[in-house]
Amino acid sequence: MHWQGKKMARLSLLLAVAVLLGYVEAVIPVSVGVPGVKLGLANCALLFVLYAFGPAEAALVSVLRTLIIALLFTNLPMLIYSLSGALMSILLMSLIKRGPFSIYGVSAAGGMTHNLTQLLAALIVAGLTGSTPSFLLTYASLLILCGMVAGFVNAFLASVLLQRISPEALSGN
Amino acid sequence: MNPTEELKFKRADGMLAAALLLAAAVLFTLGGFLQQSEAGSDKRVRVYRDGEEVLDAAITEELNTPVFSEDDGENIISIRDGKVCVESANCPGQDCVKMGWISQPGEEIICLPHKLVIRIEGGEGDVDALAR
Ligand SMILES: [Zn+2]
Repeated sequence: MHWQGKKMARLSLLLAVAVLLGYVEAVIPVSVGVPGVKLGLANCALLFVLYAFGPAEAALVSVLRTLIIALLFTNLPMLIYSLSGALMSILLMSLIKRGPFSIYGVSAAGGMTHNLTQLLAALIVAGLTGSTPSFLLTYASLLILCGMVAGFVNAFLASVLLQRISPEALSGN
Repeated sequence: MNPTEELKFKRADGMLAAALLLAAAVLFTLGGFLQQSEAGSDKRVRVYRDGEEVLDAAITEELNTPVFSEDDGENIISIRDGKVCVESANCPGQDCVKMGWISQPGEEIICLPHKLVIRIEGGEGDVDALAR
């Protein structure tokens, strides 16, 4: 019971950090000229949870973060995009983590999936109106590229944090 | 498993990165090819003043430029989203402005007072180009 309480407190703290990072990025956008592409700093916090705690905890933090961001800063219709992106991303990251990949591969796959799922959800919900197939292909290629680069950056940041902060201090007693 | 081992860049990560780069390159190239066919390839906007060509631009461009003619005549020509129109003009009647947007090869906007012809040329459907 005592352990559970401590764990919840720590996860809540990380959730707050994840929300805050998303907020910081919304206020100070680092644009690379491609709409919808962000560094996704919050993913850094999610990676931390994934490696220090586990997939279930990471999924929980990810979903809660998305809900909070949607309630606070964006309109609810946007929730379907971000939620599907967040869920697909954490699912794929957990799967890839079981393979021969390090945190870098996991993060790159996660960032890319997040972007692509959002694009896909936008297409399904909003329909194909106005977007030509050529535009979608080019856009998808940019999302893959940017997702990968952003993923590597986040992986580096998270790996530094994970090495500095001992996992025992977080998940242990 | 040593936890720090999971934090170092591995061979598998490099292979994943290479695969992603390849996928992105393929999608990008495909997109480029598709765009060429979508754009009706080489449609161009040509503006003639009294029979003399004064402007030649790809219809895929984004352009907003005045074309001047005799007696302080001025037509603002706008190219956007694969269409062209006369946005504004100081001609009497304003017929050229009222014609609105054109996008198909062979279509024309004419401003008689300024002796101006704006025509879309080239592309597959250009019957006029064959007849000429
Ligand atoms: Zn006119």
